[in-house]
Amino acid sequence: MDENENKKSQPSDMPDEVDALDRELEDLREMFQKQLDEETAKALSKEENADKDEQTEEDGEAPEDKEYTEEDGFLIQPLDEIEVSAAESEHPEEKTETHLCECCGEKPCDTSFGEDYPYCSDCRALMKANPINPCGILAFVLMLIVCVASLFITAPLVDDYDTLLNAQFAYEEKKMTDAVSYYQTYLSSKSDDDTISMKAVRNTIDAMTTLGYYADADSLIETYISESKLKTPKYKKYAGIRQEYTLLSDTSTVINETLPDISSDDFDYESAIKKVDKLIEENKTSQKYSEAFLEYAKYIVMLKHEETYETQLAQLKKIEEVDGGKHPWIYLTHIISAAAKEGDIETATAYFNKSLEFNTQEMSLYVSYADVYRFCEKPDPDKMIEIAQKAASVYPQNASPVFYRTYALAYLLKGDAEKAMTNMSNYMQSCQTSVADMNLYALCALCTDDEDTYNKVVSSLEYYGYSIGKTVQQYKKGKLTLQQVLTDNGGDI
Amino acid sequence: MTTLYIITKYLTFPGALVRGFFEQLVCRICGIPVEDNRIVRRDELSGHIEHELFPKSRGAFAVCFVPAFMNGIFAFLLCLCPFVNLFMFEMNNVLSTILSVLAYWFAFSLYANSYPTIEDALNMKEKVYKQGTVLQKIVYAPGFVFLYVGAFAERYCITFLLAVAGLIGLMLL
Repeated sequence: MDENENKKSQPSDMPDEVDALDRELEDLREMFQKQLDEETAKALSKEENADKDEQTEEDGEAPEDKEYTEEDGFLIQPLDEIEVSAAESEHPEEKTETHLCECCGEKPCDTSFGEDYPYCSDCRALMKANPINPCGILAFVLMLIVCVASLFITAPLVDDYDTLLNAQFAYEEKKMTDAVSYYQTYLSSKSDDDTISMKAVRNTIDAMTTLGYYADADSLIETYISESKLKTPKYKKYAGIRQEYTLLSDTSTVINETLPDISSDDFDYESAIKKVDKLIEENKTSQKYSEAFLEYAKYIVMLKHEETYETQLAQLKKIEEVDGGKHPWIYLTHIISAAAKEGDIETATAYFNKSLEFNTQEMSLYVSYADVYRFCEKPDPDKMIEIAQKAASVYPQNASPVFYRTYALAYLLKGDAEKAMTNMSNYMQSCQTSVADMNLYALCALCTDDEDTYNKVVSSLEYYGYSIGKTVQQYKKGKLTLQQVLTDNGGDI
Repeated sequence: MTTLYIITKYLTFPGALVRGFFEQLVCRICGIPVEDNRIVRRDELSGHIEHELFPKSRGAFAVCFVPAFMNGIFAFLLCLCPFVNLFMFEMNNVLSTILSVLAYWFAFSLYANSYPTIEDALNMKEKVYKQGTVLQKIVYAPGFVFLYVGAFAERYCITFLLAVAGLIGLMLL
């Protein structure tokens, strides 16, 4: 206010100074007039701006208030006021931009959202209604389409996935028998035009080779894996399987040619062993055949000749050594069986555990392994039952029938003849039986004093040209105890 | 780092666009002005839209959480089929393989663009943990930690690296 009052009091002193500053003021007048015109024009164009309106009014009134007339050549406006106006007009945007909307640059900022809020209310409303980026919408729609399309392609295969999942779980749990069964179900349901899971194909081949089904594996490779694919690193292994199959086939052929009479009763053991040894010797230089298979042929000859279990075990371990773990299915079951007959719990357990790494569902392994607790120094029927139950848990579909016989033997050892008879009856009904099985059935009948069943078994055996076993007859006559019948002489009943 | 950040956004632009879409959707629902709706661009806001900060805790949390949650859900759904087709069973079909690769890339990009900007994360922290109620602090805590850490991780391209690691992990499964 003091300044304004000072400014207002100055005009009365101005006439004395006008003469001295006439030229300079004339120049200044022209400059300020030009500036004033510009500001006035600008102010008029911004009618809606209240602050600007006020500014415009002040600027507009100024010439009238200050009684400026060109005719008189007299400038009534005080000089220091003119200087202030000039200072303000040097940077006109500084004053206006701090208050105007950053977006439109026309309206004042909406200070209700804060003193420094940079936008006016109209621009804010427009920003709130800012349309969603079309690229975003497009991407979202495209994503939905891909999502739905993937589901449409995947949904019809749900049944296949179910089978494949079961197969894969079985495969990972080393339940190879189940895995092969599931995979074969899946593959057989597919025509050539269908989408095939290559992982299923690979796993099937792997499972088959683990079980020793090389012919089936070779057939699958031929059907599903092209020659060009077999050259890629991922499938190179399968080219190797094909070569392995060829080698095994050749070996099998040469063994059949060398030992044509092996299945006949009058085959010459010494001569057969010599032939196989000669073949093995020749193969060491030519490497045309599988050495492990040739050694296996030698083991078969020994088995046929009923060599001692020690000799058989030694031969089987030789096969293992020669094979180098490539075909464990050749010897594992035989080693466990031989060790069991010897009552060698340590060897049998070691090889049984080893065999579980390849396939937990090979029932013959469990049967052989359970036998080791029958032939060992102190027979343990409870352990036999435990092994049978373990087998049932890994292969419930098949274990029960197979293990009726093991249960029967275990219950006979425990002295529970009734349970033994029940299990053996079930076994006879559900499994293909051998002469040894019929003798065991007869033994169970004798233990339970079931004369009728015993006589039926004897007549059955006679019908097929066999007679009842010597051990059973000796037990009937009281020459052997039940324990002796079951555990002595390799348990041959 | 900003250059690397922008490159990752360009590499995963579908996910960035979808995230921007959800972010703007939340802004529209909450009535928050969007200053710039461009999503993939050459600055550190790439992958996000430029919007005003949310004044309330609920909105501040929503703008961080909703896009992350939706991206996560869609990434999982998109990941499922390619995983089954490509890695789990290795389906031998051209159409299925192409679609699976596309879906997998989408899923990958969605995951790499799940997290909010650092500004939004800091605003969420301010609104929820300085102005919010005790109940809000408790309820939002798990999401807050996830989003807050994720925002910084995304700024330094760590989420992109994690997505790459996830891709490799699935292939090795």
